[in-house]
Amino acid sequence: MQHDILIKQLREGHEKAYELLFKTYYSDLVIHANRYLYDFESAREIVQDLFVSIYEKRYNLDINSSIKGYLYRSVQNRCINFIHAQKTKNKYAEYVKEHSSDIENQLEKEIHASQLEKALLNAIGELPPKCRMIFKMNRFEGLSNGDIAERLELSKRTVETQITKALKILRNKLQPLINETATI
Amino acid sequence: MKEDKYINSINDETLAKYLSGELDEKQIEQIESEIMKNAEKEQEMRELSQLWEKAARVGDYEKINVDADWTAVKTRMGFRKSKKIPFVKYFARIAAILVLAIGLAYLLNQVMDKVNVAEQSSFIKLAAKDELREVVLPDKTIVTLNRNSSLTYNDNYGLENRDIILAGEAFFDVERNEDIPFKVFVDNSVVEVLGTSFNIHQSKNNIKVGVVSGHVLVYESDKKDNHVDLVKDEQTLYNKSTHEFSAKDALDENSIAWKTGILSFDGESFEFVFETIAEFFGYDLQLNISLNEKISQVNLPASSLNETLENLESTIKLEYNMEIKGKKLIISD
Repeated sequence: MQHDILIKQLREGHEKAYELLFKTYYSDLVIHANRYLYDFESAREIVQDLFVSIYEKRYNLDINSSIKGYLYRSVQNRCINFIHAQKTKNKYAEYVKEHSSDIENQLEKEIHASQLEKALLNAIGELPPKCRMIFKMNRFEGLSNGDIAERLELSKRTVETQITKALKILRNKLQPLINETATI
Repeated sequence: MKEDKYINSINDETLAKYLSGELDEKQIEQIESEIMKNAEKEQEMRELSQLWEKAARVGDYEKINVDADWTAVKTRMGFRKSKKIPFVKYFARIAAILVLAIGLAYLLNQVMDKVNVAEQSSFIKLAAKDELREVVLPDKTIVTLNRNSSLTYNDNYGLENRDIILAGEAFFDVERNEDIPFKVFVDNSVVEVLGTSFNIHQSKNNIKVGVVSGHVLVYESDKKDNHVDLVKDEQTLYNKSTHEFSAKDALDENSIAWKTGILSFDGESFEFVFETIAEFFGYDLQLNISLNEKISQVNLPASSLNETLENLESTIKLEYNMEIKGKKLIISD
């Protein structure tokens, strides 16, 4: 959908336009928020609140730049407010306050980083089944290689070999993307 | 395992062990100092650590259920759930009551037997064989009949009664009429409603009632204290031999897959997924491997076992071996 048509439909309150917007960006935005909050449930809540608030204020919706940038920026502001409201000393929030002029720049990088993460998730999904299962148990569930070996009734050596294999495949696939975002 | 041995070369496996935290302090020290001397290895290590750290975080992506969260947000935005129902009617539906009165139908069955349903012109019998059949009854109630199911009603339907005899499975979207209750007779039980939508599935041992809209009270006619109070999105199972209701349960969306044509899964184990699919198409499942892995959100067409499996295979890039032998579905490595 073209940018201005989408904005127009959002202003008019079309359900389909909101659904499209939500389904396109929701996961990325939750991950983005979670990067500041380290609290998955609050991250979901903040992003959901943002969408509801866009809908409620649709008559005055004013988006001149890209919608994506707008969403990321809004999530970021909401996260910072949330952290302040919680009166939590958070180094990142302090940093952002001091370097607010760098925010735009930082945002670009963040968007890039989330692209790498998505590519990584896809690449993990494309690993050979056994390799994928073992790699996920290690990284997603935080199990040690010894635990994994025990659960799957394999030797620890096999688990290590599979992890090595996974890392090798992932690095080969993602190397160009990693180096683009290496500064983050 | 030779964990405490001095490391001879920094190969891929050593790096993987380093990241996995499998090395002891001395080995770590050794690796780090060697990496410092080698720019290429250092670069490789940097890339691998990035992937390693990020991989732990992207697991969160899998925890996000976009569809479920959209439903929540959509409701907060004030969009109606699916089709727009005028408020008054919507309210009326909530107040609908469904009564599953066990035992009453026995009498009706007796009567029906005497008049011999098929031959009496005053009775209308509609049956679905190989395909689903949607029927609009004289009172505008819509019934979707599953394959190999039938319903029977008499020509006073909508005037004096709204009685139906069901064999098999059907989904009902009942037109509200407070003067004439809508009754479905299944085996020796009756489902009585004013206006609501629900699914009834009759099998050898059980009757399953799942409610899609409306408020439903289910009880045995002889023992009214043996009841289950169901609302929208809930279901219960009535055991014909013990005369007991199961505890109420969240409506299993896949229980109306025969009507919607879609089997959907989200986060269940593959073992459960294969069990559901096999059961849906009436196959037995034989698992030759353990499938603890969880499926991510997926909607599959529920047209035929072959097509469902093909779609499953392509959407999640499965690499198990699936075989259909007679009425058996076999999954192996």
